[in-house]
Amino acid sequence: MNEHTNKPQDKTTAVDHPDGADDPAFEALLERALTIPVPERREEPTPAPARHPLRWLAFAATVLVAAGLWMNVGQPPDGVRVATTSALSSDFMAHVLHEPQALQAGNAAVNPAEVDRVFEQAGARRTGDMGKVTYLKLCPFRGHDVAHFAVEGSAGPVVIMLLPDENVSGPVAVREEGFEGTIVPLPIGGSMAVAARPGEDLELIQERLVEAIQWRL
Amino acid sequence: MTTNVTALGERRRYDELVARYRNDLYRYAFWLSRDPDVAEDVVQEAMLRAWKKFPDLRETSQAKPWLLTIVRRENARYFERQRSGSVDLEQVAGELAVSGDDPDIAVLREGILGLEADYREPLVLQVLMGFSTQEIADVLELTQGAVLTRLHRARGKLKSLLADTPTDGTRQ
Repeated sequence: MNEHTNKPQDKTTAVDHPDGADDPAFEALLERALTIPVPERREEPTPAPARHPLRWLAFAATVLVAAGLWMNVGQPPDGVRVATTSALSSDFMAHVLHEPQALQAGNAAVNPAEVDRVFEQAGARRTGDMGKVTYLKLCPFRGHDVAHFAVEGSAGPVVIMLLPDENVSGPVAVREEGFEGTIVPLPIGGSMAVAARPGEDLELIQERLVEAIQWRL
Repeated sequence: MTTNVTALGERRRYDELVARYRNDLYRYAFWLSRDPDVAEDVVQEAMLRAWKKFPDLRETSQAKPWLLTIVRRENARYFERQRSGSVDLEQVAGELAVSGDDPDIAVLREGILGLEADYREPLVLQVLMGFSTQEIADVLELTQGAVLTRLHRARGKLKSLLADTPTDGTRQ
């Protein structure tokens, strides 16, 4: 745009344009100036809806659907992020690796009363058979106290973290330090992170957990 | 299962609206805050609030003004919390500049950044968001007359600035 077109024109059309928008060239320039470049979307937490007890049903179904979406196949489907570098998955794996005792095979079963106690503090409730819980701790994680536990899988311990305050926009595949797993979003808000050594049937474990755990909402 | 289907449908509808309006929301937040980092924070917080209030949105046609209002309130909350509010406008304008830009664009951007919020906001709502003066009046809780006055003055200031600036973008 040159000087002849982009400088304000001397017009007297205040009646027609009480807002001063009387110069098309200036208006075009103004719009271009206001249309600033928008940065790439940063990794944003998925908005968590207001919590409601009935939404547990949605939680259960979504975990099954989301987990089934990609765990049945060797590779994540299109649209599923393999977020080995995402902050959440990195924090999750860093936390898991920081507590190697959870990954030890042959641990004794944790007393169910202790499971109930820790789950209550983490905002969850055991409502069914989770299988043998081989490790359990209430852990600070990204500003919240969460349940960090392990259950016995077919090939070794499976580590789980219940993350009611962490949101992801889709299933996040975790692959670090020889572990595989997912962080699965829940429509009630929050997510569940699960990881184990390759070869574990994580879908089966998640199905069992979905039936056996209820958020205290 | 009905609950699940409903929840997933709502989520899809929400995602579509956010995808459609995200650029507008960011630009609005930017021109309100005049800070790209704050704008991103504000949009992110606004999106969380929007999802929590999503059942309140009955008409999809009202999504844009509804979302913009949430961004506006979130921006106000942000600056209420921060209380500093000092922005290096020259630096912000410089960061927006792209090599090869029309120099008048840079002049105008700096001018818009320097406008009082009372003038800047209605201008953004009208030019960028396509709002009518009545819609702007509703958002800003002003009379249409007040909106027209502010728009006219905002343009007047920017036109003066542009007229005082040589074509190479340097101020006289």
